[in-house]
Amino acid sequence: MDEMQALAQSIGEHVLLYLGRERIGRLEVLLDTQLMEGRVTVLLDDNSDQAQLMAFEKFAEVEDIFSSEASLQLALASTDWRPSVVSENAPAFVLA
Amino acid sequence: MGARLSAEERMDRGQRFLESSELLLQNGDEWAAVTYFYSAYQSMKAAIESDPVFQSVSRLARINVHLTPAAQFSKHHKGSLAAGRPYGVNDVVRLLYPHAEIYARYLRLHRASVAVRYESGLGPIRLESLRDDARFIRSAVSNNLRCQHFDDIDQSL
Repeated sequence: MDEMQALAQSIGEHVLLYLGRERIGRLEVLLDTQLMEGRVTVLLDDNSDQAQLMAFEKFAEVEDIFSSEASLQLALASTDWRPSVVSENAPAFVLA
Repeated sequence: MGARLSAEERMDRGQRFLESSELLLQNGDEWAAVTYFYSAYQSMKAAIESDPVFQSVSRLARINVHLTPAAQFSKHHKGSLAAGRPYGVNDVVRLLYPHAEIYARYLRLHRASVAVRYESGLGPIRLESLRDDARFIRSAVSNNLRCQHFDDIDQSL
């Protein structure tokens, strides 16, 4: 596993840990190694107002952890969303 | 490039954007997400640009070594230290105001604005939640929102 793939994997594992594996239906982390930006897309099991706020609050802690390595953004997905890694070469982490 | 807005001017702009947002919300127009975000953006900029924490480089450094006085007037939303782009407004909000849901609400507003402008729309985020977020942030700034690290750091010096 190369360094960037390991980073994507670590971001994904931290998202599961901080947001709570039991609260996440699906997850995708895509890493842009040119811009060093990571897009984290999650399908929350509970999309109530407070559950969304909690997810963003916990995500801030993940941002802090990786702030020197990658700039992260969190996107909330709808129930019909499926992870779709665009390139096999792009560092990614997927929980389908 | 126009003159820098004062905190009062930013709050006025934020109030106008909030009123425009309410009209869009009444029509169920997803563009309310964008105007709610920029209402919150103006409020947060008013808070950041008048926050006394920026008067001391050493205080900033104790919050985060990459947080510099220049970040007070940053115009981009998000930095990337690994790519050599300094902290933006989102980063400053995260570092200075992580408490009381401020950052979580700001982040949801920003995400919704991006989703409406560049992607397929709001997804599971509701416009009513964004209305509450923008109002919450405006209220916090109106009630003299300041970096809470400020007091902690003074006590530890």
